[in-house]
Amino acid sequence: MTTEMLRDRRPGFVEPHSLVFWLFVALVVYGLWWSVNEDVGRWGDYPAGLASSVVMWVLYGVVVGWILYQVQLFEERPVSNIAAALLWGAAVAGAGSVIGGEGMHSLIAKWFGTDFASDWGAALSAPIMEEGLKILGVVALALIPRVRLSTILDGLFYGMMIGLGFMISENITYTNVAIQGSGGDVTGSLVDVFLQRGVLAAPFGHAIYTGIAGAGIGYFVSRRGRPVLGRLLVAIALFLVAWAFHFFNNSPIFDVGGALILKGIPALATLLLLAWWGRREERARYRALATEIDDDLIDAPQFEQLGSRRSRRRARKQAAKAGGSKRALKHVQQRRIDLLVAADRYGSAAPEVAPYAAAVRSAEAATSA
Amino acid sequence: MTTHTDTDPRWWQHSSLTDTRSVVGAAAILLGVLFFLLVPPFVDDRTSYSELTPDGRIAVDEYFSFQIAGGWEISERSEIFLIIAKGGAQAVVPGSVEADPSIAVDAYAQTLADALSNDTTTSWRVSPVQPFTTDAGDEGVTYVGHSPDQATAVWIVQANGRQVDLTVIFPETSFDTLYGDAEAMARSIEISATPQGGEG
Repeated sequence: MTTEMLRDRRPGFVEPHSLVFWLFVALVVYGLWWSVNEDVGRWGDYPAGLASSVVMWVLYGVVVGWILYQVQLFEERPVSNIAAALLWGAAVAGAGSVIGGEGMHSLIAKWFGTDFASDWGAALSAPIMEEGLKILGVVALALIPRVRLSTILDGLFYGMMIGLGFMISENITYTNVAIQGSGGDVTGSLVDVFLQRGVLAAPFGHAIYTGIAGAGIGYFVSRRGRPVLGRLLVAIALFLVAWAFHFFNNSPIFDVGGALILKGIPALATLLLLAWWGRREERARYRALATEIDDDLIDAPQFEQLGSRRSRRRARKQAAKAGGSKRALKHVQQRRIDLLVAADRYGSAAPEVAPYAAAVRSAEAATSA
Repeated sequence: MTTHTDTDPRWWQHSSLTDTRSVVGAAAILLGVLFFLLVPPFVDDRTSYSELTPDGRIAVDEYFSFQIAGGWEISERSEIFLIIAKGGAQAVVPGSVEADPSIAVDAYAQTLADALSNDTTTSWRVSPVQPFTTDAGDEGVTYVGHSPDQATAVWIVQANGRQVDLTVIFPETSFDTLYGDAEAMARSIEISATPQGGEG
């Protein structure tokens, strides 16, 4: 196998042989172009204020993203995949929901009356437009072979990243509008919008909704061999659950002061349940994989030690108490995870796995020494 | 489930750019995105409120008229108020009332803005009350409020012993595109000193 072929088998977003990849890129470019044009007038009036809003929400996104990143158990998804997911959420879903959303809101007013639209318009329009456009991003990623979206946890993870990208771009827009609307009150607008959208009003909302819907896409692609209809029903059901949580959050139901933050709890609980399911499935898959690898590289107790971030930390603490090095054990643990991921990627008996096996032996030897 | 002794060929056996799966997948995604971008505005353009606005200036009562911005439509009308709407935003336009000379217009607006700030049902961020001038040269005041999903803008004008309030409620996502329309309508407010011959 040539180096070129090996490189091709690494997961990642860039897949020139896929039309979906090129469409994805084209839509992101269009979304960015549209968003910049929309905002360009405001940038001329309040450049420093708007730059502050971008910095604030990007930093907020980094913190939220780091928390969401912890849902991964063994495989760390490629940076290019994560960046693509964030960009779809920010540019394609972000711009698309504004372009089509005005018409949707207007239609609701025409069909059901302006009073109804005033109370319920956002609850009906936003979930239809935003969840629809965000989940299309997860489907697009699933259709690009090299992205390797193949499990419930993959779908959930990329869904959360798309939701995070959307949330950052939406919050920047809201802050920019607020700065302009207040006649340039930058500090007041930053604080107010941060409290409203970053703390009170379901702060992780978009990441949670699309994580739930994305888990449905993960379920669909991970159950190949089962009847399509059943898989489709599960995917649709989880999309509708995400839609319903978004609807509930935007609706006037329980819309009083501090209750806003409580409205997001059922959605968060559902996401955590799906994450637990996805991680359990991934753990079971890697456990089976570990049995195909030589016991001198990773045996059953060593695998159980790797089974969760907590058990890994616990093992390192015990090693330290016994006079060992936490850092050295962490190194060995990471090399074993790399080995499992490589075995999953290339096949446990594939020659490409040999360097990873050698790395485990080398790390163990260093620890013993 | 895949066996673990051999990896899933989907992840590395690349198809060509025009492979059926690649083309069908791209077409499905493109159709999905175009559906959300084009269908709601298309259907909206072909759906009307019950009454279309006449082009140009509309008289809300015998003293007060204003210029309706393009694309706004009458959704409700009575003898004492008018509601016009566009893109999910609606402007509530009551008829003019006699101005109370003992209450300054900015103090009156501040009372309304404070009431919005103190709304306990949702969290509103309200801008300071600011002066503005209509195209006819009359003085007025305005403020803007934002909640997590809605925005509202209010213009109040006093002239010739009468007062006019224009309140526009926007979905937060439409504020940016429709605020200019609302502001133009507010600037076009004209309050006459004498009755001008009924509603238009």
